[in-house]
Amino acid sequence: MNNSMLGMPEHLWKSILDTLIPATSNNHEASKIIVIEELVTDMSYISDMKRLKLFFEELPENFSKIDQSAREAILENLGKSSPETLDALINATYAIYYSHPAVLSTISENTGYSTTAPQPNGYVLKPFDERLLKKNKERPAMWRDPG
Amino acid sequence: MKSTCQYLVIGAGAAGSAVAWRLAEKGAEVTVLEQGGWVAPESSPSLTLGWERARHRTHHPNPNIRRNSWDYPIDDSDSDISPMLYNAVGGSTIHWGAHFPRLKPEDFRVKSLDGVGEDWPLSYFDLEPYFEINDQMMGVAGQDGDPAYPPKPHRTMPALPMGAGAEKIAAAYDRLNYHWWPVDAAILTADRGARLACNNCGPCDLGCPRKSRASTDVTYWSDLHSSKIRLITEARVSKINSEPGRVTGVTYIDAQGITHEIAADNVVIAGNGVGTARLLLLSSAEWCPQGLANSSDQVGRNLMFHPTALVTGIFSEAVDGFKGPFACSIYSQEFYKTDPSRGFVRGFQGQTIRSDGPLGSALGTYTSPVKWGSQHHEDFYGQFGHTASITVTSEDLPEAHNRVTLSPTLKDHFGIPAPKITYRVSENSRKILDFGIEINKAVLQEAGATDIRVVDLVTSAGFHLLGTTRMGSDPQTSVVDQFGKAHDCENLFIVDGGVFVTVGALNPTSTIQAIALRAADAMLGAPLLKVAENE
Repeated sequence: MNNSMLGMPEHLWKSILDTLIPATSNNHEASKIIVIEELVTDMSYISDMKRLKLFFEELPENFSKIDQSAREAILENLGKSSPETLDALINATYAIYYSHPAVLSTISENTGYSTTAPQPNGYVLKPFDERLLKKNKERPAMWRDPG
Repeated sequence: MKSTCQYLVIGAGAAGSAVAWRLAEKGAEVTVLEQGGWVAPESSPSLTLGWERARHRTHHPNPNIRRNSWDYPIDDSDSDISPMLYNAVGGSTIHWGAHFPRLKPEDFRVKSLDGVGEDWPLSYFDLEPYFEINDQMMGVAGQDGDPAYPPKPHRTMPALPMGAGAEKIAAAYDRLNYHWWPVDAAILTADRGARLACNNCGPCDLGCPRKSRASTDVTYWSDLHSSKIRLITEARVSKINSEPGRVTGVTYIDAQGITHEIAADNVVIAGNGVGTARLLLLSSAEWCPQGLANSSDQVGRNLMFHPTALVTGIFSEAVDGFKGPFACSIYSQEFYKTDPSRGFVRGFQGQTIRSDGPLGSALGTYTSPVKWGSQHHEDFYGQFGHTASITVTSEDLPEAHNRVTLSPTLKDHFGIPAPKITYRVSENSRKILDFGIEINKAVLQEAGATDIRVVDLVTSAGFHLLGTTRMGSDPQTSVVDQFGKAHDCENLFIVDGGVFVTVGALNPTSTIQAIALRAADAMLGAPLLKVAENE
């Protein structure tokens, strides 16, 4: 335990993260990707950390030992009483997970999405096809001259 | 130490840069105070893998989230919509999408045509030559011949490609017999000097290392040839100093917290519809206890945002919406004007928005967040790269209770009261949004979307900060005249979006800048340009 993890044991953090994003086929589980200290820092942008601590204190002691569906039910239930905190936790988890090179690489494998940053390469700028406007070019003026 | 200048411009954003350029190029001596600093285009996070994360944190358009030291916080706890803005040389154009429509001729005559709001004291055609100068300065790609507008000068750069999602939407518009047209975009599609043609990368809002997407730091400020202009960055104006009937200069605080005063023959404010109202309210004096230029009690009132809903179609095949300028594709003005049978006045613009990268898709920037839990990955891959959205950008009419005041509790880093926003979406706007949502759903269905999701109010879409220092001929009901000159002060001018009387249903930057250029000519006593008399 350490303060940068809000005094929570690491295994509990990992269980929470993997409940939010579990592993499936070639997709990583969140705990393999996310450094917990980074998550805590990120959450400070968007959440009251005291509320987050209170949220965690509501988790049962055996949380990391129960199965995925039971953990989901617990988080969903807690989210009903503290929706902003759960939203912030999800937001920070997604923010780090979907910025990680390993995750982007998997997305690339699955979809063909580029693994590089948008710049400097960008994508091809195809010319606009003016022929598509044929119908609209035939429309009468739609603006009004108010005089 | 006190210094003196002829024209002191507060703010180096869209309007401040345009007015300062025009004044300086006409030979006036100009000092510009900007609260932020320079943002190097090559520092854009779009060059890094963490670009999306930056967009949602350090480069977020909401100053309350990014919390830069040069920002000011905004109390939006009593507002349906959160304001978005940026403080830097370039202002909010540093982080905008560059969709660049003009207000339409009828938008300036809403009272006469539709019986609501007020008419402007100027017309579209008064601004037309200034629109054209501004288009040249910013660089506009587009397509000639849009039937929704009076003829404009030939667009010298071709329109941006619309993208696969918009192609489906355009075909649906055609089948439904609805108007659509490629947007005017302040984005280059051909090289121009040091600015390179767009390479279709997507996140224009994170800055553009190629300088394809216009921001006034790389347009107006790069084109300044006068030696009579001085720019002071990281200069936070805390008060405009005045005596009865005129302003005498300003007090500002630099980055080290040192207070300075500058005397000025004329003060021009371009701090946006929130910042300018805040500054006027902060500048109360014995002769103007309600705030500077506020004898009408209109400063801060009539705040308008353009309430926006978003309808997103999910398509079974990939449409790669992460490619291309996110805000610039096509728009429809089919439902822009009043139709009494609909039960509301005025209408909306449907602006097709591309989509996001992986993180934005997961966070549901345009839809709802991807599900967490055991269905997470399935839901993610169902959305990512498969969506296209259409906004319902609605008319927003002036209402006195929607306003900017000073927060009694929240202060910026230097202890200066922050602005407080009080804003409720009107019943008329709500009806427009609901109507537009149904229209957009039908369009997306026609386009072949397999699932359609609706955000009935995008609460984070407070990008257009308008109406809080409105222009008019009557000093009892307006703050400035048609040239931005304050009714209460002979040498105080306001040239930002605050001067809008009504706002149409269109992005305002092009119109803001045209107003600023025209105001500069009026300040100098230069003859105003007429149509077809452009320089």
